[in-house]
Amino acid sequence: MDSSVKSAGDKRYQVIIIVILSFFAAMAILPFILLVSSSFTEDATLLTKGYSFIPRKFSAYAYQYLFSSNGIKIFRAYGVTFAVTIIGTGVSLLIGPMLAWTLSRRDYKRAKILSFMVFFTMLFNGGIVPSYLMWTTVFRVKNTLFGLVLPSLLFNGFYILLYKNNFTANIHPALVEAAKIDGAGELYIYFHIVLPLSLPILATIGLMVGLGYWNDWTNGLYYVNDTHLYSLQQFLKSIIDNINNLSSLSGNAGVGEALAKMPGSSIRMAMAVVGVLPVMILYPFFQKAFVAGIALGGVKE
Amino acid sequence: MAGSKQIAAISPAGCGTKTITVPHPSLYLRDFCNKKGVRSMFDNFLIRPDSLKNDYQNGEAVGFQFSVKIADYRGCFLSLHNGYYIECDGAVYSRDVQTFEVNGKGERTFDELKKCVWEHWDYGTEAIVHVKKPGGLEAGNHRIWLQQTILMQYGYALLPQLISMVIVAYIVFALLGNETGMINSMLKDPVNFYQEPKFWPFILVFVYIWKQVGYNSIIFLSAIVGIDRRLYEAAKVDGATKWQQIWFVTLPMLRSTIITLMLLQVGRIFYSDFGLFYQVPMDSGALYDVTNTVDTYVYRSLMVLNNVSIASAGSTYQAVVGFALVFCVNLVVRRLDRNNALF
Repeated sequence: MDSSVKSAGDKRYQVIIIVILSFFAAMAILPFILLVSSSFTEDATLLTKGYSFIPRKFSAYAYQYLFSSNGIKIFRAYGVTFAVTIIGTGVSLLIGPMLAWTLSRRDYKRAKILSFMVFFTMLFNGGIVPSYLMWTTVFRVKNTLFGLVLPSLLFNGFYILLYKNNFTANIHPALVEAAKIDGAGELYIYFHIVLPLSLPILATIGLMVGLGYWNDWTNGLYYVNDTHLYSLQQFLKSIIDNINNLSSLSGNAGVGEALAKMPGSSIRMAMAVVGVLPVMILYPFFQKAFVAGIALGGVKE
Repeated sequence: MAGSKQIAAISPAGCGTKTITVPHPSLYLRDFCNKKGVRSMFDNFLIRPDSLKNDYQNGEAVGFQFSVKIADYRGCFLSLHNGYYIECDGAVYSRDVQTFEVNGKGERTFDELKKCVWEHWDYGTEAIVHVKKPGGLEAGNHRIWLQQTILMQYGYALLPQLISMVIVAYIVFALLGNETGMINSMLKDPVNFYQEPKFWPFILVFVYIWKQVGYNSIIFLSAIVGIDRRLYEAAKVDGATKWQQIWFVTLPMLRSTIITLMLLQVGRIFYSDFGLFYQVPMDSGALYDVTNTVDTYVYRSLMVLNNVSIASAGSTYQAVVGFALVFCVNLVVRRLDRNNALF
């Protein structure tokens, strides 16, 4: 390779490209720095002088507040989010590949019509109103943990498509035939042959599903009013909503008092930091699978 | 690249096992087809099949060498290399006897490589690993087990993609908030952004791009690595600079990807990003003129006004027109490039 021999033009090119990429990297990372630094700034300074990239007056009060007894709600919300993420990802990994495996089988006669039903809904579905009515009136998931797990569980034809493509490409029908001749049942084939051969795709999709559950706030918005069941994201949202409502009423009697009781700006920022922290810490470890997942999806849905 | 974060952790970037036959005088791989797993992201091998050779000094074999690629799809800086785990016929060769030859700069030890902070090993560039072994390898079958370990180097450009719109709304608020926002504290006349509709079309577009750029770049990257390297080699032979290579090779090769992605986005114009339009403007009534989309309209009719019939009407309208649009766009995409069509 002659890539080591750089002409003057190439050098100039490299400088320009480094500048551009540094700019992009800064754009990506600076808002997070702002978030973290404002969570470490004293609240009063934040109110009088505003946010800045470097804390003007350092204070860890926000985190003290969060982790003292005042912040019990945030731990509850954390718990809900953890539970929903783990249950949702687990169940999704259990049933998603099963459906896809059925669809990918050539000896299943109704695979075609079933596939159509699954994949057509990716492009054309009734939208939020019918699903809202169905989940609340038929399945009565309102204000239960199910409301946070179920609606997104059965609603993703895209992952089914990825599983199915993977099965068709990687699991040869002869393998299944051979197992059958040896006397293996369908369940045995699925759990002992199909799943072990599909671990990479399970990891990739499991990761995306888990991330989806962790970041999900729409289910909470529609199906949960009970503050005890607030997930982390919804809890964060409710706080900022309250502040906005109160500030729009400012001038009315008692509003100032209520506003004063609300968590201050630095505490809000600290909560947001706490909300993204697990993702930011785990990110280096799952980045590769995540990138593979995006490349796999190719065209996003 | 500058700005990307470096985390000191060892990652097994990839490993490969090869069975090698050595007829005199050169060595080659007998069976390079490896059943187990992907070796590097876009190739299925790390060690080039026919690259195993003995190293000679004054006519005497002093070791062996083979060519490797980097497993990491972005390539990496040489300073992130820490020596490899090399096992040949059961014997392990430590980092002290390994030297590394890349970018045409001759053999270097891994201690020297630690200092090459700015030298990049590009994806697709071959490097030669030399291992000192007096006498070299004998002719015959050899099995080399290579584990490439590099210190992880992570770009955080994907980070915005990973966080929820709620957090994005917090960040936007920190920047644009009324009295305390970062931007307002720099301006002489503070602007009440959450009451001023005229800024929001730009803010929302900017936030969306900020969140998606890492994601889209990966999609384009996977298209770019699919481009035949020989086109670049040919362009170089013709004297093309890097800019010309981008302009006359990369972009034309990406044409169908770009058009397809754009058309598919246009097709989904009726399905807005609910979080973007609902969370980021903080549901501010003054901004409804510019932030109300079908999704937020349906949501408000259903959950705030409790008007189910209006909500279903909006929802049905969105579904029917949206689907018709996707369908038409897909017809066009199929004309352009069948592989990229949705159905």
